[in-house]
Amino acid sequence: MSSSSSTLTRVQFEQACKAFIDKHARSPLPSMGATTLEGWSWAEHPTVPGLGYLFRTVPLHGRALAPDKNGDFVQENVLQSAEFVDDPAIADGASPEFLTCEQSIAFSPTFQVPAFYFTIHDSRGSPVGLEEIMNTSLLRHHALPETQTTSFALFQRDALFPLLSQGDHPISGLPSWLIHPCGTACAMSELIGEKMAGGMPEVCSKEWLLVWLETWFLMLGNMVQL
Amino acid sequence: MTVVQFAQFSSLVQPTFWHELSRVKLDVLRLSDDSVPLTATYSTGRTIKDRNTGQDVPLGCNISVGGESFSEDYSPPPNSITARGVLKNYNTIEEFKNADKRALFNKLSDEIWDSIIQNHDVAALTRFLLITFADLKKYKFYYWFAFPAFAAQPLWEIDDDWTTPEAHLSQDQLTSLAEQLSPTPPPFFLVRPAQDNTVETAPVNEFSTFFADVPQQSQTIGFLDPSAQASAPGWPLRNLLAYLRAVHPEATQTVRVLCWRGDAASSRIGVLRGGPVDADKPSAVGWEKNVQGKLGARVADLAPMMDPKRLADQAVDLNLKLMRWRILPSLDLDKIAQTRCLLLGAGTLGMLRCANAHGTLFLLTLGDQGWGIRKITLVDSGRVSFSNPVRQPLFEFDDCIDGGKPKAEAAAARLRKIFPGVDAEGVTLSIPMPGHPIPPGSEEQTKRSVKVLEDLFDAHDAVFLLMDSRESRWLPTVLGAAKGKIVLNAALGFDSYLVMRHGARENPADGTRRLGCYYCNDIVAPADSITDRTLDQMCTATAVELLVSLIQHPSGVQAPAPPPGQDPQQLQEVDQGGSVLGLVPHQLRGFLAQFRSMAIVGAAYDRCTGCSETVLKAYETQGFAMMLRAFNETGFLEALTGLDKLYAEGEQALEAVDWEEGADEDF
Repeated sequence: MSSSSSTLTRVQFEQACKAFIDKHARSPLPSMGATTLEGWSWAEHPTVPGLGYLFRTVPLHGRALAPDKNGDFVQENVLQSAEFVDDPAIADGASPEFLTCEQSIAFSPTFQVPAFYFTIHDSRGSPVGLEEIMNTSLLRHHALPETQTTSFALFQRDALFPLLSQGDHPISGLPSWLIHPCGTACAMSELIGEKMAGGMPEVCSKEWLLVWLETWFLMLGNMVQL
Repeated sequence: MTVVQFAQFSSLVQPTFWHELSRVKLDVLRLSDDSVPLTATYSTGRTIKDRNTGQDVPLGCNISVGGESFSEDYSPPPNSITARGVLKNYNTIEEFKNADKRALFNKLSDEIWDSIIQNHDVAALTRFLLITFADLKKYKFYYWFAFPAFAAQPLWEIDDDWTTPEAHLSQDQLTSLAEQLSPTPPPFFLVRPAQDNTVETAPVNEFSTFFADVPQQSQTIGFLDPSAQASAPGWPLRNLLAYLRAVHPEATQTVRVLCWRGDAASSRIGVLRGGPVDADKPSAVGWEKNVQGKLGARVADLAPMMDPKRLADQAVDLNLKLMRWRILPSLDLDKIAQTRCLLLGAGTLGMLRCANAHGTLFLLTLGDQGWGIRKITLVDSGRVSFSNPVRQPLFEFDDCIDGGKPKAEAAAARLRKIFPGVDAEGVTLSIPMPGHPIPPGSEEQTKRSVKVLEDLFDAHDAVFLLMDSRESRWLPTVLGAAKGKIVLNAALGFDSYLVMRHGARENPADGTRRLGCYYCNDIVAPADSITDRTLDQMCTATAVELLVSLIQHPSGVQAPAPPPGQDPQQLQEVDQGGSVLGLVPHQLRGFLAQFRSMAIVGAAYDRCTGCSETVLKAYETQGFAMMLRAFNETGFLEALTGLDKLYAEGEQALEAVDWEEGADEDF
């Protein structure tokens, strides 16, 4: 049982996630419109039990792909028939180049809060660099000097820009970007404090955990376009 | 009537696929070119909102592979269909280019045709081929997908356009359909009306019995459509139509097709007409084009994720960018990174730790954990001794054994170890100094040393003087001034320190006097620029921070020092003479016992032994000869600059004072 309202135990985290999925992710990502809290599934470590996390895959706008260097060799012997070259039965619609963002919410044992991990890659499986990530809509930018942005009451003293870091994904072990969870407990204690004043389900019950996680998503949504 | 156009499959590869392929190649395949079975998945077509126009733009007709594609008991995510495929990995790029792609493709399309004709099986309609070459040294993967689909002759045509299902089915029927197709629709299915305004679905191989008593216009063939384009159904439909024409030729001259895209609103229905059938296997198409739109391979570059050097690069880049975004968007990081730095003295490099409020190591502040400077050269004459590593973090115990490694080279090697991307070099060199005469036999050696030092100055932009004696700074001061380099001086007393930048050679454009060097101060009294005010206005800049401020200042080395007596807070504005990083002071003197530092301005002295025009011109015209005299002859520099006359004048003035003898003694 977590002794404070600003952190969770791993078991509570798992309970909260499963309740969250039940409530929000019943249908798969809708085909039209922006993605919000939907589309999350639960995944586990392949061999070790008890290490689970939420994950989902989200498309993002990206720039046109760089040409395939050295791969561009026209092959005569693949032309099956003259028809293929101008096959009228193939639709032109060039699909817009988009990037794939794989998002995870994993439990951080050091900080005892959920942490948001993501990787972004193009259709070839190449991960994109920092500049490219900044050009997508994933991270909300507060890169302008303090005076020019609206500050959220919680983050006045801290940096307005998300604490973007690199690290290994805790379950898969692959290099990932992450929003560092060091400030989470502090922010959560304020948010949960306010919520509890307004009336919440019994502390540490399943409903309480669900509200806790939804509040965490709200906080994440300030930094990340969910 | 228009020709039906199909959206071709567009491959989506996840990085885990390449990780797994590397592992399979290294552990399993080695040099074998056996085929490896793979499983790909596709799902219903999706759209994405365009940020600029707000319109919904269809994503491609995607089919994905990932690390799990290699596993035999693969369970697809919800709402996804699996497609079986075959991978052939080649061991060289030549084999990859010369592989008989037509033969591979035809083998696969034959298999599909056989499953249609002999087995009447729709399970094997969607197949794929993937050929690869993995360059594991460069973390690059060459690959080429093929999705065989039978091309109908003549082409399928559509009566009107594709419409939403409301035009053909009632609302209740659509609800019933959605129910039957959840949670995961089959890849291909049949639909017929049922009682109470509902529908029924069935697998395609029940075609004859399912549609036995159903009129043609009420028969619907459905498939899970990975395309989201309004007027183009996805690739799997081609083989489904080929199946229908082959197995039920009479009943499928006209076909009503439902492209199921997850819900009724996104789905499409169209009525298609085909031509007469012939019994031979139709020709097949389906090699994927690369991003240039040509028939060629694609290349995936995984170096950013797998190459350790690239990962290190990225980490540094991230630090710098975060600093910039969070604090100073107008920081010009490139200007800093391109500054080539020469460090004279690889001794107590941590000595400025005390002066830096952030506590970061001096050299690492310079190097890539800090400002990203890429070229650093260290010069020192000594060897690492046992007392060094505890104070000088770049050295280790092992460096002290066997007489000790040369300091400069050891420090450079350690820097490279910390960050391989830095161009760090160590040069062992003894810097000659005035007051330490050169023995006659060593003149040639000294001349060579001076030449090496001159070349080093030419090859760098900023020079740090970090030696442990006053006179050793003379030669670098002269060279730095003569060659117009940025010179930063740092010196440590017992409980005090000095950090300063030398002034430029020319007077600034605004007519003020140029700033002085280390030696100017010996004669000219410093003007105190901060009165003895608040202790908490401590300046915590180190020589590095001073350098960076200087570089960011629009006037560079000519940057004026803040005038004495003004409020330093005001002076931090760029338009008040600061850089984006704030003040660019001339000198900082710190007094540790008092926890205080002072920003001081010292104007240049025209008789300075280090930076006056007299000295510089003498160096430029006489070169090493002049230097030799400076090293060997006491009083040479004073005579050259006229300082000796100053002393004489001073003596005379003193003697000229008429000390009044007390005439009355009133004791």
